Amino acid sequence: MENTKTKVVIDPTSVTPYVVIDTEEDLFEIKGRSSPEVSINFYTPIYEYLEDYTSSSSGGDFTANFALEYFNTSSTKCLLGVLKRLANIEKLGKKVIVNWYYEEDDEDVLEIGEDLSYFVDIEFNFLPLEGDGEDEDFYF
Amino acid sequence: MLDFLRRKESSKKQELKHGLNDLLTFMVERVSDDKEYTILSGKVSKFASMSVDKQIKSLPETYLLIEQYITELNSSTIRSRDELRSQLEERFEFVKEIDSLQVIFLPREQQPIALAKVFMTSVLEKAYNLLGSAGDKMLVSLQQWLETVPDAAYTPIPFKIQEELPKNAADWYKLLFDISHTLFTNLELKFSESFTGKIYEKSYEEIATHYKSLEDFPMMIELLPRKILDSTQIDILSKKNKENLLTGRVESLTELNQKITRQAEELQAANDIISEKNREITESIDYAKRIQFSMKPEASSFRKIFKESFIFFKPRDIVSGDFFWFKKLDYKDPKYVIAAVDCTGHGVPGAFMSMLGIEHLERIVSMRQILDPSKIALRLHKAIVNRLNNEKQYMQDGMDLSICSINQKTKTLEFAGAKNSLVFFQKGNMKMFKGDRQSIGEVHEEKEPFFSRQIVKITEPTTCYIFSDGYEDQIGGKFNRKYKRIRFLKLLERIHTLPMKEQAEILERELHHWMNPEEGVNFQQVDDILVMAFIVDFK
Repeated sequence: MENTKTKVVIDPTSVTPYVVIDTEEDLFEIKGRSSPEVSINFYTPIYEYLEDYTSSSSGGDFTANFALEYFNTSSTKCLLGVLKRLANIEKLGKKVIVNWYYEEDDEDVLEIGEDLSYFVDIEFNFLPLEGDGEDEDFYF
Repeated sequence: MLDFLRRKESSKKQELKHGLNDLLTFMVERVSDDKEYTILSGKVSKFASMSVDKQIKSLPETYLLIEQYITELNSSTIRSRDELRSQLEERFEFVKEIDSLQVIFLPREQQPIALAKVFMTSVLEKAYNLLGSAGDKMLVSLQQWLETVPDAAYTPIPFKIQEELPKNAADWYKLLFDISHTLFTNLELKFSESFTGKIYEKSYEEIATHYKSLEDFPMMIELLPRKILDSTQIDILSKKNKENLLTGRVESLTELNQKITRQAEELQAANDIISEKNREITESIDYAKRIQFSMKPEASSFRKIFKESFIFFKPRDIVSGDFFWFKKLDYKDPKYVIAAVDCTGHGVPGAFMSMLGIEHLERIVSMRQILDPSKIALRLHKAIVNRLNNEKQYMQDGMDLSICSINQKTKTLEFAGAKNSLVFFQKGNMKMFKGDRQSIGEVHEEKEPFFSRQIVKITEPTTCYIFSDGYEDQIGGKFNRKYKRIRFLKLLERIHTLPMKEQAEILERELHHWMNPEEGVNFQQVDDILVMAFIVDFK
């Protein structure tokens, strides 16, 4: 089979995240917010790109960066789908490392990352991010 | 030799013909509206079928018509005349050699000056030919002077009509009209009035053929002296020209108008259909809302059970994926079950799930009298999995929930949660029971579902909160951020001692300001929002 290398960039919308699938650089990135009405429609093509991945000969790891601020429940389930496909890449003999970013006080995002990490056999790094601006007091 | 020249001539014409066709095609291709494109393409093919001489004659008219479509109908990639004209000049070098296009490409105020020049040049040429090779010094010097108009014009002005050169376009028009009239008087002396009149008439006809579509063309009638304007012949000619001109404009305007009206009608019809569909859909969802509400317990009866309580419930859409449920069970000792549930999705899909949830909670709690919240959660999980998975649908549907079961006799509150938590305050101290990391309906091959039971002893008044993630996930604030759980918990900590009614008002106000942080900045609600609060007190 042909060893096709592709770089796919999906620009974000108000309800879907920014996504990069770069099989040249062995990189997957997802950033922003994910709350589409029917999440599976957004994630199916991403699944397909990852399924098409054939391990590159270069020695490095496959890096997957998750930096999501908000995602709805159905997106969470789709993220598991993404992780399962990343686990398949690891089965091809490529080391996969997931960097799960969360804002330091957003335990919700951290916990979901932890939950998801139980279901797949890949290395997870949980990396806190400093918020770049906070509303100090309440508004009421 | 002659044959060769003719061939050369004809190949040059052929080249020009191709050039003109390319130019018009290029223009028409800027039009993005399909119908307009079709209409204009028709005009271009008609143009392409003409002989090159005829093409040159009708070029200005055709050009102006297409230009009008392009710049006035907003359906092209080009927005202004100047933009179009400069693009054409850049792209098609030969336009510089086509006099008529050069006149058209001038700024509008320059056009009458150029037209007057073309007109007078034509008159002078005719007069020159009639007077023979000797010609006339006056004619030659006038022609030389005309060629420098307006930018390089010099004094003295022909016929010494005035001392100084005009300073603006309007003065130029006036001067050129005056020169034209004086020239007429001069020629009259050499020929006759009627002969001179014929020369003027012919020249006028020539510029009319090319330029009658220009907006300022009617002004050119001023080139003709009043004397011949009064004569019937010229009057008819000018009238005819005016009429032609007007009919031409009116026709193209009517065509445009009809097109716009037709488009407006089509839009209106589409709009009507959308409004009608929208009305139908909204009506049926409104009806669904009534069904959903009739199944769900009434919020007001919650206050009958817990005097100090509120339910803060804000569906994102008409129907909701969040729902609350509670039941008072009367045996010897009253027992209560309270649930705050968040179904996957919101709107109609969420509402379908909520129906299933309500139905099963009724069966499990009311019919089977199961009161242990961990068992309720597990039964609900199995029911949902059976119900949805057995039909082999793609499973991404489920629910997160918090269930509290309160027993007055044992003075306990038992809690179980699927992803969601219980927050409670006793003597001002905040505690949180986290739910299990297992969603209702979520199936994992490796793991048996399990929901743990956590118990609070109600030794003193206990203020409890259960909620969906809608409030904490709401995007907003000055920095366009998620509200976040930590902030929500701090908010509860801040307000938990206030009267319940006031707390609900604060939740409302805080959320409103979060979603509208600044003048002109508004955020849409992201998800359904549900917060239930109640004080359990067994004194």
